[in-house]
Amino acid sequence: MKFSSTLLFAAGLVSASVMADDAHDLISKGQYLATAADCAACHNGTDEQRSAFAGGYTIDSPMGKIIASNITPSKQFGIGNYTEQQFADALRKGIAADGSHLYPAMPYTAYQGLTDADVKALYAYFMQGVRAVDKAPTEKTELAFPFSVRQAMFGWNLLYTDAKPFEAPQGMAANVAHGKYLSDVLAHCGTCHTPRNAMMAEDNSQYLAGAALGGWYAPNITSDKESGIGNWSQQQLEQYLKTGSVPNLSQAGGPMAEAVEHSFRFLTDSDIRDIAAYIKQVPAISTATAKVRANATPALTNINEVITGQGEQKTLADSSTVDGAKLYDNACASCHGRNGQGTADHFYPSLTSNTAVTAALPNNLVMAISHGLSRKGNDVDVLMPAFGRDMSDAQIAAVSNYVRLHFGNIDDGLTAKDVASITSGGPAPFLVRYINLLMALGAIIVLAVLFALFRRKKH
Amino acid sequence: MSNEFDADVIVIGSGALGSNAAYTLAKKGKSVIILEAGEKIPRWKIVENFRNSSKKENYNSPYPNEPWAHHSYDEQYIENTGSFELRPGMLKLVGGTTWHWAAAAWRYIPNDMKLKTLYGVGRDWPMEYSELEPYYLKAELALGVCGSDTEDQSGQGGEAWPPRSGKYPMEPEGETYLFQRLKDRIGSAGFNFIHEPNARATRAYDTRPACSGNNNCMPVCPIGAMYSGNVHAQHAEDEGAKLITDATAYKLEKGPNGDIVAVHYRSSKGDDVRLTAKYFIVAAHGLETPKLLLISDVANSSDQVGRNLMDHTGMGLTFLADEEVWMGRGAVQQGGIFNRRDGEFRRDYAAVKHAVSNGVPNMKVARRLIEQGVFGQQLDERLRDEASRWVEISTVFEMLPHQSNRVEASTTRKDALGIPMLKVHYDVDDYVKAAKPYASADFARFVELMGGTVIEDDTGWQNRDHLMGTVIMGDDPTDSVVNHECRTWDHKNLFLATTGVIPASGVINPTLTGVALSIRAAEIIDREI
Amino acid sequence: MNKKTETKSEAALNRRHFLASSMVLAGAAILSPAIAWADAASLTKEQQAFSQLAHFITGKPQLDEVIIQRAFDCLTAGNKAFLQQAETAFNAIKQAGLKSADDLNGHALMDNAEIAATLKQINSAFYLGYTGTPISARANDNTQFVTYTDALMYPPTADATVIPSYSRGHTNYWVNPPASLKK
Repeated sequence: MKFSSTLLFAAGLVSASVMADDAHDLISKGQYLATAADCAACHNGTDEQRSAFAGGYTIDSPMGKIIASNITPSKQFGIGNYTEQQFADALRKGIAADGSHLYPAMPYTAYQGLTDADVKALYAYFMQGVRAVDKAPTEKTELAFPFSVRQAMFGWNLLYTDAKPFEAPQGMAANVAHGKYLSDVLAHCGTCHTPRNAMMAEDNSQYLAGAALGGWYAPNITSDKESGIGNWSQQQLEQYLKTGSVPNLSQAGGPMAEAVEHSFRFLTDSDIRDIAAYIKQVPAISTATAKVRANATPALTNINEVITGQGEQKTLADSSTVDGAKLYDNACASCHGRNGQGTADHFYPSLTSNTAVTAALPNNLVMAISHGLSRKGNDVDVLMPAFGRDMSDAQIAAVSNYVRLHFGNIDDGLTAKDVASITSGGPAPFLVRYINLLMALGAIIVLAVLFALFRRKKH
Repeated sequence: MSNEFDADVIVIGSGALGSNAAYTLAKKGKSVIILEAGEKIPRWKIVENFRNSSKKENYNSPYPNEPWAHHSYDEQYIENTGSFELRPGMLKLVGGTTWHWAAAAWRYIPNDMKLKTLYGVGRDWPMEYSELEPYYLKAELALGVCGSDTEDQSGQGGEAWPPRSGKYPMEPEGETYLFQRLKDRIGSAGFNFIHEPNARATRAYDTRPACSGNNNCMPVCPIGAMYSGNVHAQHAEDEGAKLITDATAYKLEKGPNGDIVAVHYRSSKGDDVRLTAKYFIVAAHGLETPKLLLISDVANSSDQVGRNLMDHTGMGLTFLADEEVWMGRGAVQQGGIFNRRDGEFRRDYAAVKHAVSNGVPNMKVARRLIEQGVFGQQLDERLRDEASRWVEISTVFEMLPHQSNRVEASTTRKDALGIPMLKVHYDVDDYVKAAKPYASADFARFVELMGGTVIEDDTGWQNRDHLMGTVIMGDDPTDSVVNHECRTWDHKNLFLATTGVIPASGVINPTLTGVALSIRAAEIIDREI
Repeated sequence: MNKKTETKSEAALNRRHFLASSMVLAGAAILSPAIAWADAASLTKEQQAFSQLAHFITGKPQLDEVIIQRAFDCLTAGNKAFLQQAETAFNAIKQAGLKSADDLNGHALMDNAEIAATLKQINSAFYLGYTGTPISARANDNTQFVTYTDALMYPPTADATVIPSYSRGHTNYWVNPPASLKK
């Protein structure tokens, strides 16, 4: 892997004084890799200091809540007793030192491709570069049966892991191959962007073609021009990863905002360049796009029909309107402008040319309105307030419909129910939805049969 | 919590002070009920009300004025009998009047709290600055205050002052071009310009975005960058506090041992409800708090309830500078001139603060030009020219507590619930009047230094909406209502969370001090339950 | 649909200019109902006349129909004599042969207190966005809402300051003077 201490220094990750010897170099390299792999996204602490890697963070998985573990070198509560081999097995195979199986919220299906050299560096960092936190996360993972049976993961693992180190495809240029390593293994893009099959493993036939993600939708990032990022330039992709925002195109919200905040913005320019180069040439997979109306985009409601003067005194406390134009002007236009144009300096993004508005599904728009958006960047912290408390589902539907119709010419006709479904995490995936049925039939047996069937198919 | 009580603590009022007290207690696991006379209204709705208002300069107009929960500009709400018409802009809704403040978050300086000792006038606080200091810091963290850690806020051009045990939570916003120009030309003549610490986020903070200069702090921040009490009303609810709206407290009920045993409230639907608790906090601002005590006949053995009413009665200056300074970019105010904040002169006349206003001036400019009969292209050109050179200074004077400046329950006016409204008697005293020539001389100097043309330099006395003194704090039960803890002398389980406890007004906006005292009171209660 | 009375087409715009100028230049009765105004077929004579007067006084060729209607309603509702006063004012303008709003500046016509007051009221409704007189620190006064975002007091400074409550740019943009001031 390309690795340069000069670049690291430029990225502000390590101080010059620790670059003296090889051991320090290895730890620094491990720190950089841990950032690229975004370990802290899940394993950060929940205490007020947000102690690095102390665990406790709750991951909402379709199977229930998974609490990230303490991966500091604490011998009692962390991974201080792990040998390098045990550490490698946890990363690549999802097996803890005590032999128990990790849940695949830990992206070991991606990390299985880690090179030995990178595992070594990560090990050095986690053992020597991280402060031990001698306490366990207060909450514990609690999943519904049968997911609570960690052994069930064994069958799953047989199907979806091969623990082979990363190999660049033949004929792939070195920089692109390095980008693939970064994307597939460290950044584990597929964890979010590749849809999952019925058994909740990544569906490789739809590699990076977009997937639902707890209410959000991780879009298609294949090179398809219509439904993917085929029309983005190399420079735009790089800017997006570095800053989370490309004016008049798109900005990162939800989990992608976290990825930019915690990981991508700290990567070297060279690594970002390679990731973008790789993503740009991922084979196109065409997926659904938003249904743009055949008719011309309807004109915005005249602001003078929206701001009409105060009515009776009692109307001042009546916030029940479901008029999308009114809600837009009252709640959105203060920042995004009366005509959705944003500010001239793009501090507030335009909504008139914005993939969050024109995406195939309104999910990300609805989630941004409901949950807000937060993203720390190198230059600026972005925060869009959450409106989920100040607006009903019907109001969020109305304003979302207004925005999609007037800025994207897309008529979703979202209802309050749709908004409730999206904001509560979207439709439950197959396995969870049918779990009761499975249980009724003798879940474990069925699971075993399913595993066997899938396994045969795969061969 | 005990089953014998409806709650451990009942907080009456959901403004910044009440909500911070409620949140502090709820976070510590205490059961808390918050009573609010008004309603809970989302920010976007208030923004709608503002944009729809025909009176944009009337900061109460976007807010409900219900017959059972009047805002203070209601014609009947305050009956004035004094020489000055006191009409502070108070609101009744969840979050209270900090929905429309300009978020000034000053600390008092130590000398402000020893006025009697140092200068022989007014009253001393019953505590030292150092005792309050840790709570100032907590209040600054709660409100998300941005400020300068290096300026001498006493205005004397010295070292950083007052003392701080920690840094401001956020760095100050960038200096407006207006402020730069005034500082350059007026400041160089020896006037000390001080950044105003303020509760506007300069980066993402709590649930709030950074201020981006929408220039509408009053009457409503459209994006919630500016702190308002609803933030902690929500935090308190999230910590388990129960918020009851449309609930006007009208009686505090005394028990046999002198403790308060219950509060009675009435809703617009006519329900009368009695709630019991171990402790009660009245946080209904500097006029309603004393009124509730008076109509309940509690806490008034000193006969000081409602007396000693102080506002930072002020005056204003408007002039046109000889250069473009472009007021209206950024938040509505940023700081001011503080040379007269403290000094020996306070023996003889009031301290003075000059604040630089920064609201988009177009309405005032246009109205004046239209009135002058200017039309067409010339109107547009002069409007632009004058708007670019318009400067406004908003000046306040330190007030002293006087027995005769007081608020009482009205004997002639009742609201729709049958609860008495307010009667106020307020005169501006000689201590303030003696300071006016100095303020006027400053005005003349500012205009001169800016090569200015006066638009208005003698506005008469103006309201500043900083209510203090009405439930005055002291160390003697015979001449004060609460002790240094904000606990009423007469009822050991009754605390008051209001700027009305402040015994010496200084010249700075009192909200931060009120929040600091409220958090402190809540912590004291927490320890006792 | 954003209906500006004169933006429906180039033709309409030109025609409006033509009407405005020819009326004034020729001293034609711009209050005359004889002048057909296709876009405003539903308006009463008085409303048409008011609309023309408003365009003249403000010196703006484009005013939103909704706002004109609202200003008309507010001004007439608040003052029974308004229509008569407006007609008087208009006739005075016509007789004085004024060509544009700027001709009103310093004109002897403004010495007539009633005419001056009427013209200011109309100008004020469009510039300030309300009619009536605000009383500070009161819940009620006789003000009525006309417009906010289209108030004519904002465009002259739109490159430098905001319509309050709407954004302009990033945090701290205000440390710099407006672009027009930069060297």
